Amino acid sequence: MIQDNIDNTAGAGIPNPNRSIPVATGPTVGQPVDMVGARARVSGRVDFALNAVVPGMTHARLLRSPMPHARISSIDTSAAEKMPGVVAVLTAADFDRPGAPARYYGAVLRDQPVLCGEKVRFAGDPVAAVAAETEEQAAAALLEIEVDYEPLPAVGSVAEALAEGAPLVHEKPPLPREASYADIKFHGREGNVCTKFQLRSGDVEAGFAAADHIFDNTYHSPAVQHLTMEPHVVLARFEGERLTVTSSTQAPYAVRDTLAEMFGVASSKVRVIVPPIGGGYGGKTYAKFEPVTAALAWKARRPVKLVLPRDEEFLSLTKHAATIRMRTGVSSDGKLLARDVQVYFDAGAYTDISPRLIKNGGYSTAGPYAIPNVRIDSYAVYTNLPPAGAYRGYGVSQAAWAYEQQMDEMAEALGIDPVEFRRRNLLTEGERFATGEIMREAHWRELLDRTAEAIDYDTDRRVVVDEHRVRGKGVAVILKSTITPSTSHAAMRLDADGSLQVLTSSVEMGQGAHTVLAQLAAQPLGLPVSAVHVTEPDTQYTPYDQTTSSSRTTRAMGGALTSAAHVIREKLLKLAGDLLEVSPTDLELADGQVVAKGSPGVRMSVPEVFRRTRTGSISGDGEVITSGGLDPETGQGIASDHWHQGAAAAEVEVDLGTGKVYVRHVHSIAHAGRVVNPKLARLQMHGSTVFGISHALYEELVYDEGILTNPNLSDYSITAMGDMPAQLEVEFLEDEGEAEIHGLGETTLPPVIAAIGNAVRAAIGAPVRTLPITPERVLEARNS
Amino acid sequence: MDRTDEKSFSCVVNGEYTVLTGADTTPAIVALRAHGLFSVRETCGIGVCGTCTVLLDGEPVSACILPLYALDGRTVQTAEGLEEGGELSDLQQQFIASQAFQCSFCTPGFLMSGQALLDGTDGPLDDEAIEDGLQGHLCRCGCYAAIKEAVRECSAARTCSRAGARG
Repeated sequence: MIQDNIDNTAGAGIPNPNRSIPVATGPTVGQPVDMVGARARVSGRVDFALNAVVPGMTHARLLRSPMPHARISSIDTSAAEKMPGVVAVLTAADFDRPGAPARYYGAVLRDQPVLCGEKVRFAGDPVAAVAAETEEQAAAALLEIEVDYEPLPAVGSVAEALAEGAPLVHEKPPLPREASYADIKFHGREGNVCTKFQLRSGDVEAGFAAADHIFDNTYHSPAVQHLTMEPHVVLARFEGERLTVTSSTQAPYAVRDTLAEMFGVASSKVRVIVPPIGGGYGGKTYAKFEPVTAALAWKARRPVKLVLPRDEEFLSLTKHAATIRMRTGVSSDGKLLARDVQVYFDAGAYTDISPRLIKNGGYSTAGPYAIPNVRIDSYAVYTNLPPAGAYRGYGVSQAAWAYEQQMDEMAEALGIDPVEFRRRNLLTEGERFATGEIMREAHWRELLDRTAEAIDYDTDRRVVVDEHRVRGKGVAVILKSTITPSTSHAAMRLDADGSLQVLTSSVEMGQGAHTVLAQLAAQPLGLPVSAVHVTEPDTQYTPYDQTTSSSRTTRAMGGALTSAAHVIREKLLKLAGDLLEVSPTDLELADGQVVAKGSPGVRMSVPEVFRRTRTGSISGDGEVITSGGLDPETGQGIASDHWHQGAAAAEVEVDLGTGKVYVRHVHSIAHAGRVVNPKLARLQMHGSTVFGISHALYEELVYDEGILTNPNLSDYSITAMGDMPAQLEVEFLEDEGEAEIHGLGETTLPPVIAAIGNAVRAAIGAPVRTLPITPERVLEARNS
Repeated sequence: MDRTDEKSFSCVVNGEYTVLTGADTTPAIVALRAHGLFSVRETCGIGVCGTCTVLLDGEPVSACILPLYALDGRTVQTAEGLEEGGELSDLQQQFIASQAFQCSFCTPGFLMSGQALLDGTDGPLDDEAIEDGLQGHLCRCGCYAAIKEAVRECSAARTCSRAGARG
């Protein structure tokens, strides 16, 4: 039973039990070392999955539905099977028979067909797959497959999906997967509601009754694409019932488990190998095209490789379009008293990871503010559009677009400076967030102050350049969670030559994971980074890691590796201590030598310790397993093992004649705790800024009657070099001494979008509440 | 592709006489990758993102929309050909120093256009000139500032040379 207005403010709040191993700057940590494998990266020799070739390999192409919603009355593949070079044609009829793979998969709900059988649910839903000797032959064979469709009424938006009597995307709620994730719970699954998340904190109605002003606004973010430069690539091959998959995935273990379940084999029968990947941004998390490629390989009895064509990339997965109605009650002296939010995330046709995203995006609408009374209802809604899933920013971009726009609108109405208004409400150390958890390491005020100062926010907030051009400044501040609970394991092996082999399933996708992990592993063992080799994820050898996502790798996998390194360190010092007749606690490691503290003459090289003790190698394991979870009725509990904190400020110039927005200056700042590699961390924040400008001003997937109209890089614009602001700065807020590591991969993306929005509003004197801020929307806002 | 359409095209690839095979209209990227030149990578497939850029007689072109016949009798350079005697070119070295890449899928394309820009100009380049020279290239990871810095630094030092071209 759902009870509104449960009083959760009683008590001191929920302390967070999670801590990570603090790390100090040292010989490797904190140093701007070159990216591991930099030479291969500038000579074009990185061995992406795209390059993978095995003997007997065939090439796959997919046939996709031209209609957003239709029954399949028949599929005839007989002509296609006779086409030159065709090795196998796969349809729904090949599944769910004895010895055959299961047709439905999904990380949370098993609702996505590898290939559609009864009906298609979005324009682009795969209905058949062909493996042929060449890609051209596979493409030619697709044209010979005849599919008869009976069109069904479709729902092209959340509003249509929730309307009375709307057609159902899924006739009955799909079944949850047995081995889903501990943080995911279900609620309100009926009609086209995939699931919902709700949060009840304090007494919202009493809060509104006490408020002097109530602001009620609706904000919209569109679906956008990840647009990784490397497409999804999968190479699948069977040896007997053993399946080996090389994939450009961010989640090797999730892919392994999905494939094992699909083929009904032990997970040890599936091996997933992940070379460095050409960008992920969330779009390659969980099984994507591994199921269809593996099923084709199973039927063809040949290795099959799929390289997804660019237009199909646009149909693979999107950021969730979101409509957020936010009602906030404020006292006349600028204290937030109550917030009531309805969040509608467009999940598209299939669940993917929506249940987690709508939860995280849902509670994030409270923002980094201490609001005593909060009610949030966050929905994942099925529509007949491509599925939405993980995307850099993970629901927080959409949430912050709403709450940070509204903060500025409220500040203006109250006549309070926007920075001062935020300062009066930002969470401080020991304060209680809407989930009831006690915030620690709270730095939002400092982040906000520093970013505002960086653009000189207090002066010239709006400047009329001439009769056509006007400038404005804006700020934004956000909080973001990371997957909780989560699990990362690592193993490493120190060899007799003093080199260290690191076994990790964290994926290198350009973020520099393998470099910072090598830095973290090297330091406790007194090794140079060059002595460390980080292995590519391979589920046959590298230990379990949940996913490479959620800005979690440096902290979670880094913590696991640091533990493992200390295990090896202890074993090594014990061996050396016996040889040197010194207590291990009086020994230290530096430059490949074991040295007695205070007696630098008493020393032995690491290889000599190995040789004299006849040791071959020393192994160590480490793990980070975080705890937490939220009550499904109230949303109270531990949402995140730690919180990412970020802020950004922007100055824009608007051409009032054309409505075009030019970004002149962006500053962003994140709480980093300890930065492991400033050179790479800086680039992560640059990346967030570039995404932020793109999402603020350019990107939108445009559908017409459920058909995507701009699935190419000519009609879909992303930030180019010439769109970059003349002034671009990123800054880290670091802690003194030994400090915890905070993820930096996404933290400053959401505030950059919102800061640009607030800068445009300051410039033109009217809010644009719908992203992206196109010239048309600027002119429309100005004229209204 | 019908086997009867297959022809041979002679060109100089990275300084070596090479015969590529395919149809007249086979995209150059397909033939170059089949020749083992994996630095040539496709992102957009329609010639607007710059990822697959190679130098054709020193000029940057998109290999994804370049028909194979256009290579006949010409000189082609890819990122594999930037090194000389196992030494990275100055621009490649500066890309590392400036950390001008993340996933690096687009890097070879930027390097080829950057090298062409340096080869075709003298003295230090300002931001505008660099943006003009590289505007046809997209980097989703967002390394634009670092890429600009790398080309700027290289142009200021002006010891940059395409391996083998200037010594």
